[in-house]
Amino acid sequence: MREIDAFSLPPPSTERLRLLFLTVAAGAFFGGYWFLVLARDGWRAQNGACGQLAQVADFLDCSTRILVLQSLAPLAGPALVAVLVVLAYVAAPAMITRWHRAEPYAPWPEAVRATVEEAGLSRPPVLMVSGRGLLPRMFTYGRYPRYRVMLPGSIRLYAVTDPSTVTATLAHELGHLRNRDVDRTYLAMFAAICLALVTVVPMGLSAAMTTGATPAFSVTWRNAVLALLVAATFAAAIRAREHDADLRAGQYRPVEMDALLSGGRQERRGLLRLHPRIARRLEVLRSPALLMRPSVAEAVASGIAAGVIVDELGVILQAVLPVPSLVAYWAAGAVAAFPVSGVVGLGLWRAASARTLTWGATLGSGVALGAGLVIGALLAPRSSVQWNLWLSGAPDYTAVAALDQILPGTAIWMVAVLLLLTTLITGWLALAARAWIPGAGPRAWRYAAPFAALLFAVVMGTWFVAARLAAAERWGPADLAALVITPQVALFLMLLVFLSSLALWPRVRTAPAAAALLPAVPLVLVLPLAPLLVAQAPTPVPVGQAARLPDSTQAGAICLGLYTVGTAAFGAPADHPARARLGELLRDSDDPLLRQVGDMFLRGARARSQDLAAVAWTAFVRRCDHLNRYPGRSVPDPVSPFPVEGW
Amino acid sequence: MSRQRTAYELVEAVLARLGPEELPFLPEIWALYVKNPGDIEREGERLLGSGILADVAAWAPVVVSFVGGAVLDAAREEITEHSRSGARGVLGWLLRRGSRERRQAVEQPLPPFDDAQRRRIGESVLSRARALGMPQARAQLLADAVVGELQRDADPTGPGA
Repeated sequence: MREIDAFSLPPPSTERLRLLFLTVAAGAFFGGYWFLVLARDGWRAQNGACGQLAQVADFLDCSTRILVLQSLAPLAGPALVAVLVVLAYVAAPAMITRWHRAEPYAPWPEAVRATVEEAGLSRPPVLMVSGRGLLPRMFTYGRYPRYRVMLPGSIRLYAVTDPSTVTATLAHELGHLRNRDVDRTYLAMFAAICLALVTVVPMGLSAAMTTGATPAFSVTWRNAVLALLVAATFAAAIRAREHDADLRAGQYRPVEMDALLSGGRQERRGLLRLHPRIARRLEVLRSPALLMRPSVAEAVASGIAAGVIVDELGVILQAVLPVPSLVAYWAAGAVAAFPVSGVVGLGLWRAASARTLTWGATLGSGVALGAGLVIGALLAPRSSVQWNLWLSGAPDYTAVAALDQILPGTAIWMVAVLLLLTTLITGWLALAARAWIPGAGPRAWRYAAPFAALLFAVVMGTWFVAARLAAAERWGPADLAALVITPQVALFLMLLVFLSSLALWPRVRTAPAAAALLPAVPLVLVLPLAPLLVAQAPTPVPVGQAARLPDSTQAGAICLGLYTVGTAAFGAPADHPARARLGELLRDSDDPLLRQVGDMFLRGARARSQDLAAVAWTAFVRRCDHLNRYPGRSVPDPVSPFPVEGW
Repeated sequence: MSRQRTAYELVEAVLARLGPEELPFLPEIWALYVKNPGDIEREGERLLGSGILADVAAWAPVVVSFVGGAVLDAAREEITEHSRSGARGVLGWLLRRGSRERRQAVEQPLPPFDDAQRRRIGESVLSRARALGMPQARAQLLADAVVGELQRDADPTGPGA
């Protein structure tokens, strides 16, 4: 049987830690948003000042500036966490040394010297002896490039009585250095702790003290799940790194490592198991291929983390980047897609290189990843809740992807499409692995990873934009597909399908049966567009909504109509008469800014300008949003059309 | 009659029976034990450790921990009975659990143990060793050595002397 090299590909702990950092960042983003925007009444004073401006162009500039700042201000959350993490990381080695009252270990016995030298480290660590410790427990700490291994205070005794235990345990610790996971582990640990201290706990307290029970509960349970996700990801990364270190040690101390694990006992676990079971470690040490199997639980966790990240980051990038919303969401998707590719995709690739990959595991990973993304979309604390229902100052802008507001049929179709697409990508990865590994070896992963990440990014970004649209209006599947998949987007997707099919060419040459599958790939990818093709609806119109606003001069009544009718009031892309009617209505309103917006609509209709109509629509929606959230003296309350006296 | 031995001297005698080659390391191990008596029995996961409780051949840590612990527990009961003059309640509890009392118990000669106390100490050592995963034969060897040394205190002319 072929020898398995578990280190021909990056160890799985690396990407898990990267995913953890991103989840912490997403959680801290929301912490920043809560304390700097939501808890400060959505910057009522600044927004009110914008509403007092006389010119609609100034109003648009002013409100845009606030939106951008409100998108950037939450960056203070991750920045604060990062500063605290770096401070803790810098101070930790000295504090650990001091707490243990540790001193350098000298002289080294011959067995210890040989173990360190055989580890193959470019820079040997400093061995420290703790002022405590009756058992031969060791751990690695320090900062790049000066690492240290803490030995127990009883090491001199064990070096005489149990030299093989000492060398095996030391080899395991040196394995962590070989895997370069020490810095990452400490940073991840501090990041998880800082997230809890700076975001999760203070936010829960703040929500409980400043809002009602429902929003407080909504914040708290999402935060709790986020904290649990971070903890579970951290525990998974810690477990993975122990396997990696065992394997590294087993490369040059196989007998001692086997004896250590055979005779050793498991430390008693707490709430989460931080180390793999001893029996499992022994199995993996004897058969590293066991470690090279994709995990469904890992795929679900990656999906949840990615869902939270794309949802949170998408809102920010969309406000900040001068690109269309879909591209901004693709960028947000790319940030999460690389770790997802590194965790889920690498798991598949490792299994393929060890020849343990099955189609069941491939499909299971894809479905689990898709399911995780849906759960992440439900969890994302900032954007899965319509905060303005509870907090009057919260921007409507935040109500972006509350999945419970999507039409049930549309929601089911969206979930099915997401599961299908993530499964297709994992299937593509499995095929690509089988196509490339025989010729190029496992390291062909370095080429597959970015392309898989691109596919994941496009799928995740597009899906979250669609979710946002579907939650904002009652779109049917066909309309939603028409809205998101514009001709340019369709062309780009076709290019991706073509390139992904082309990448499988080596497999087609060697396995003719696979060639028969190739034409099926584009056909399957067309499935998400099936509702659009069946319905033949080139112009999306929200389901079951009228397109007319109430015929009133009162701004309050017009805006109420806008909330009811939604984007249907804007009409189809080329429906300029509808814009003209809208302009006529707004021009007679009692709000000066809305009157100017009406003029813009009329000018756009006369010039048949889609761009001008889009700007006017933005100004219209934003002005109504302002009137709703920051009513000023200039806008009178709507007058009832019915007699209120003399009944 | 010769003077009563301290806990350290008893541990030293037990270790001389089980692993005499480890005697040079005893002061160091004893100092570690006095600083942190519960270390060997703390089995909870260490976040950044290897997660393995290794099976070791060394006697000194287990002798120091189990024998020292069992004997000091028994001796502490004697000492606190004598010294419990007024410090009761929470303060007394804190004092009894404090390091000062432990140091006092370590440095003072052990009180004489009767047969029942010796048997209890032997059973305590055996059960603690078994609870921490020590093989039965090794644990029994340890318990027998302890009881034998305690017996020697009670009967200096006996077969264990």
